[in-house]
Amino acid sequence: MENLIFYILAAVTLCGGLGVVFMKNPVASALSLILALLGMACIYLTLGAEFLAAVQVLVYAGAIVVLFLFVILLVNQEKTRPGGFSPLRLVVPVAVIGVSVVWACLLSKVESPEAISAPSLGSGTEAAKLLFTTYIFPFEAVSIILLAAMIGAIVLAKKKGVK
Amino acid sequence: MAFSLQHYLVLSALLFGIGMAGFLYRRNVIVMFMCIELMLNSVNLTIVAFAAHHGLNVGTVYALLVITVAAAEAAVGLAIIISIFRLKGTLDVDEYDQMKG
Repeated sequence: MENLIFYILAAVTLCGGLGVVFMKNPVASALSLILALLGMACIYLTLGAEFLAAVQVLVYAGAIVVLFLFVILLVNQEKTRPGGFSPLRLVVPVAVIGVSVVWACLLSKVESPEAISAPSLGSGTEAAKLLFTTYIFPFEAVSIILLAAMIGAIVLAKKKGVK
Repeated sequence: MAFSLQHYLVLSALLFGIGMAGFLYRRNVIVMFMCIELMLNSVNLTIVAFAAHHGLNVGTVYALLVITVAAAEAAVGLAIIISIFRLKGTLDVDEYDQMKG
């Protein structure tokens, strides 16, 4: 039963990923990305990481994909160049997917030492304790990165000559 | 709940493969960016799966840091895309063939 849930979630996530790659319309790609990210959040739930699942939905599906959609609509152009398709360009992606499938098959052959059982790494309390004690320096560094990214994004996207 | 580590690693490998293939295959710079997000996500899944496997709480912290950096990267990257779109008028990466500002 639980295996079935995992397989369904994995299928949803993979379909979302394939949709990102193969949808013609960038808006459809972004919506597929939301599907993949929500599937991923549910998979975090099966791992017992509830806090991370919530963050995934809020930050990824809520903020990043909306940002993507804004930009897609902002730079909307009617048609990307239709030509330029060559089978040669398909070789590398197919090889990459093939290699990863083979690797996945090999990986699934390896005997698992034991199943992941009832992990409790999810509760935000434990993560917050670690984040504010042991990992306080990375936490502060990441906040500075966010500040720099905010300023950088404003500077980069500003029209030239607009005060 | 009893899934083996392999399940998660296999899913993560497939998702990373899809993201990388999309990055190599697509020529729309925004879609390429989304594929980068997919790859970051699959790496996150690997981190969390290994952490859960070993019963460590650190996995959540690392995954949070990765998500934060991904958000910052998306903001700056999309700003660059807007600015380069103003310059060139296209999203096709094959058209971006000069580094003059």
